[in-house]
Amino acid sequence: MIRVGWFVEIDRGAVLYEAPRPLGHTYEFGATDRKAPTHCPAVQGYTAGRYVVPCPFTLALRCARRGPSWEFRLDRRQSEIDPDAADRLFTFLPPREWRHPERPILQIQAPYIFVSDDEVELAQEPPHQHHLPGRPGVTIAGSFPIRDWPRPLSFAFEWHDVAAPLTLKRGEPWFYLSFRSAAGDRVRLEHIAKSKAIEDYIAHISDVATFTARTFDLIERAREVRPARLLPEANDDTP
Amino acid sequence: MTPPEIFVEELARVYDSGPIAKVDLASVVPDAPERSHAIVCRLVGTASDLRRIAAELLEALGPETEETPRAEPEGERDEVVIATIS
Repeated sequence: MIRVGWFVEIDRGAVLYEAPRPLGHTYEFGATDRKAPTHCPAVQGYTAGRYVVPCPFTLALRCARRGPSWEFRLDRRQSEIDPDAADRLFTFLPPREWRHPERPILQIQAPYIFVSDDEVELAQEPPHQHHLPGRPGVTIAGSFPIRDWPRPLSFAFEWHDVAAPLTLKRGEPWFYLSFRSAAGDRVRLEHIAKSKAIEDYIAHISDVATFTARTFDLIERAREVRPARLLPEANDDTP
Repeated sequence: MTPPEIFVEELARVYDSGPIAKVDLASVVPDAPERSHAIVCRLVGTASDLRRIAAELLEALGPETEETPRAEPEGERDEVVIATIS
């Protein structure tokens, strides 16, 4: 069993960010019929070790080209998040960083930090097993080793159909997480407090993107100073 | 924001095309690209053509100097700009 701890690292509104849920627990229909896809071993194999992170807020966002510029508008009637909060949490990448000249990319802070003392690769994936018509583009996927690189996540969205609004609803799947390790794919996810050791180690690897674009080259150096243990003692009462 | 009259006038001038004059002005207000999309695409070609042409025209018209009242039904939207990038 792989132990993975998580906590939310944000100054305000941490209560908005709910615990990741096992993907297999999020299907609402067909669970009672033995022929339902949820009972298929292949489907169960896929869902094992995958979690759904719920969206923390409700919003509707539109984008439009204005000559050489792009403008992003928050629809206040359909959004619970206010513009000031959006300003703090959202980053709109400049066009030179886009993958396509007509597809804007925005990032929303997802301040979850995952910690493990095992060699675990965390993959952040689009919520592709849920029908979410309010996403007119692609949720960008990524992965990194959380033992040596416990960094906060980010929801990165590439807007393909720019005529359609991006709508997110609190509680609906925001993105998926999967945890893979040579030690197995059974994961025990635990909500933990940020210890001084974790805080010091995270500080050691923070903000390096300000100085270099090749942050993953630094993982080997980070590993050299990582304490052997960052997770708290196992609590057998944790489900 | 570019007034819609100028936008359509420039579009007509560039393409020197009669049908352009029949386009509903409100339908090509840059604020409503989803509504202008179908109408103007029939005249100028594909969606990418439309985006390219619109960008060229707006750039040629120069920087925006004043806000134009929007022609949307009251109560349809209440939007606030949270970012502009270029």
